[in-house]
Amino acid sequence: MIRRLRSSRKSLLRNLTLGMLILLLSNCEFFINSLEQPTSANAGDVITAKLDMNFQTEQGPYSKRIVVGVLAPRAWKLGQNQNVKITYTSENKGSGTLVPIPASVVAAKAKNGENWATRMKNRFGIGPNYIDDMEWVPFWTPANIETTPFENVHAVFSVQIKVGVDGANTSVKLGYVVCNDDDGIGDDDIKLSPVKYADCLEVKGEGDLIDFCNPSLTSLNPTKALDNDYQTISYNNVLIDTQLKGNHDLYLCATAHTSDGKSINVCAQNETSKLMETDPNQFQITFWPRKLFNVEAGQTITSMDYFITNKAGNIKVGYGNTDAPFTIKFACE
Amino acid sequence: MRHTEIMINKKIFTVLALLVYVLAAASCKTDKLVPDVTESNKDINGTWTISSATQNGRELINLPNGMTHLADFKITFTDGKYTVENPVPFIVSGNGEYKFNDPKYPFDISFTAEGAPAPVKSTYQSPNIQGSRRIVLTFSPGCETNVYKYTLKRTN
Repeated sequence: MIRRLRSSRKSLLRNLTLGMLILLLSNCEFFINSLEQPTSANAGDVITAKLDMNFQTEQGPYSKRIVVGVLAPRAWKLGQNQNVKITYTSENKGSGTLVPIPASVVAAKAKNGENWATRMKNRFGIGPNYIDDMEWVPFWTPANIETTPFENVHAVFSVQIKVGVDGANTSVKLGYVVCNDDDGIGDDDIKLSPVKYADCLEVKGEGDLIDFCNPSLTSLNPTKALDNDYQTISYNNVLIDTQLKGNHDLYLCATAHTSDGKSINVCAQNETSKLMETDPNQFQITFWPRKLFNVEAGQTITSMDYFITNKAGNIKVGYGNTDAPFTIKFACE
Repeated sequence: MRHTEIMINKKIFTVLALLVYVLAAASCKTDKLVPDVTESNKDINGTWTISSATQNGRELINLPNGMTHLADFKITFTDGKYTVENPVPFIVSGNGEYKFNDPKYPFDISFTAEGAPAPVKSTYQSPNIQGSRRIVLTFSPGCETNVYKYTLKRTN
């Protein structure tokens, strides 16, 4: 009797496991098995990222386009000038080259009529990066790919990216998402839209490092701006021990340098220079440089130096927590 | 009995077929659906303020006005001329003249500030939101990689 009970429990367990397996297998799922991407390059180089994928279908037959999105710094202009080329090869689906998705195309399942680039940004943001000056650039197969029921398609996507077209020293974690043009990108369930971020890619260029990979005391958004752009400075007040740590009332103290060789100092602690606490110990100020420094028509600000100060203005934190100021160069390239 | 039934059915069928034919023929009469009106020139005369402002897709209007001053901005259009109050980063700085690429179906608007050598263009859309007209301008006042979209709402 006991033996019979035991054996029935065993078979129950076995059937349950089998059932679970079938259930798992019968779900439509996309998998990024692996992502290979170099971690160093020179500005202007073309790097190749390889995405090894599996597409499992439950029912069907399906006929859908495959969508691939790439997350990169906006300054790299991946959407322009064919700075990205995505090809795929698959044992039973042949090979092909993806094409950019026009901005006018509304993303599948988009609630507010947003396009693919916006949908990807809304859903995944900037992934593990720290500066919000990034964009998702969407591509898709030029035609539908046909699948039969319970098919498990293996494909390798090769993403060739021209990195650092702006010529700047940059470190960044590029992101890759894959989905189809019908299911799109789900809010929670990402079985049909897996996303992967590569390890930090160091791009050697010129000028100050734009470090998307690591938190820094201050960061800029946009990373490239002129004095006639809104500029946001973010300040991280917990990253290292500065004299301002624990202080929640912070101000910007800045000096602008103009093309006609003048310096304009703005260092009053008031509503205009006050940083806003956006998250605990994370601060931000957005300003229009021309207005902040009150420059005359015809006068151009080429750079600015700044410190973060307390309300009294007697404690100043500068670049790397030194006496040297942080600097911003107002230039587009 | 059966025969009469079939005869009646045939008659009904003939009447129905005739009816269908008459209706179909009548429906072929062409109606003038498009009224004879011409699209009027776009009238944007009046004073407009900013109801939404995005830079590279991120909304700036929710930031404190002390930072952006976006809520103070005003632009007044009067028959081909415009004036700006409390400036913010915009297509042009200073007052001047504006022109649509097409006065009836514009998709871009160009501004020529006084003393400026050449006009500056912005894309133009005018959607209807909650029953009132908006003007949406898309432009780059600084680096061309930084794209701004201002949605203007008529005051009054």
